[in-house]
Amino acid sequence: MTVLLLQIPALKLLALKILALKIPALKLLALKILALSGGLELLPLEQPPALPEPAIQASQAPDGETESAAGFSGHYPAGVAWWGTWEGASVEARRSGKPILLLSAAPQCHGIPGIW
Amino acid sequence: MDQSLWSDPLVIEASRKFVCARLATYEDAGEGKFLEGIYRGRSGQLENTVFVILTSDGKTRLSRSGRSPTMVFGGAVGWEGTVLALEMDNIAEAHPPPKDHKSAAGPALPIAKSVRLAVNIAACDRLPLVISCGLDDTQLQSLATVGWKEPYLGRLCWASTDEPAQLKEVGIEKPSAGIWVVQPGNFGLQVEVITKVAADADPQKIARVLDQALETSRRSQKYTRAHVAQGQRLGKKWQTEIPVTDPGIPPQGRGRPGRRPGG
Repeated sequence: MTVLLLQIPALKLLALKILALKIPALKLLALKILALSGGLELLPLEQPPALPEPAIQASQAPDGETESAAGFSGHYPAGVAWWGTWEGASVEARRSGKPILLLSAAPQCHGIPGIW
Repeated sequence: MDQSLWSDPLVIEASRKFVCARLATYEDAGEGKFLEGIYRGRSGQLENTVFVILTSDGKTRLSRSGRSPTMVFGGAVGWEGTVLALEMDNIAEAHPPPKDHKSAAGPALPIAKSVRLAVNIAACDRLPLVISCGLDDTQLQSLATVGWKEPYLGRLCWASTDEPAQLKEVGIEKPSAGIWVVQPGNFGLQVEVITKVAADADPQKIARVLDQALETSRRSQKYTRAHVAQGQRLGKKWQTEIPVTDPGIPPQGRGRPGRRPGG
């Protein structure tokens, strides 16, 4: 019954609005609602979820940097600035005091380079 | 590695609150041991991918460890990026840099272990690569200052060497000191030079050549099965520094690319 109730699009929209409020305790509740309801597939197409403004900015080149910056943003959307070695990352983490997001991946597949 | 997760705008925005380290698995014995200590699967061996969030001293885990963010944080299909970004935001809020934390110097360049590996990584990321060769500390810091600004942040790969032979190894015919901006080949073994500037170039000049790299290059699409099949047909091979121990991957040169092991 609970799962059926969660299929109601209005509830999903409510969950999305709660997410946008950035209240940690409510975020968890909202995520649980979305997880149980299987994501967004039942949302009406004319009401896509609005991304927070900083996220939209992160995917775009900043205004007024250079004339070319806006031009190539389509080819090279913003990306994560990865440190390639543990030594470099740990020095930077000590310098900046930021926590470390650590990922490892193999730059080869079946011995063929050029693909993760 | 699921690249779609890391190109999610929410994740990219959250990543600015972290030092993001992406180590190349099986490319350094010391890092391999370190990664084994972070996460080992049922096989008890180092697997293809590892994920965890750590404190700034690298000693305490701020999340569970696993093969991927989705394994650690979960998330319904299509929501993995949103869940990861929210978890990252929560961790960053709970563990901000200390208020009295001050550092006079700016960040260094986020370089790969070697030029050879950087070319491969740039090909995987489908990004232009900037290689500094023979730069002194002041010149390197000047390059790093430009490199950490928008729009270059996260849009370029970086390598640094004092050995011109490393440039020759990746197909630069006449290597010399300076800042080389190159486009990696499809298989990340050779490069095509886009432009080069002197080691002592001023920041404006450096910014112009980085602009040129982003303007003239095009980000090609890659499909794992087609890429691997083409690589096998053309005899393109990559020798890892340490043995591949992921049980899902057959020994090099054997097996077919039936599934994507990167997760």
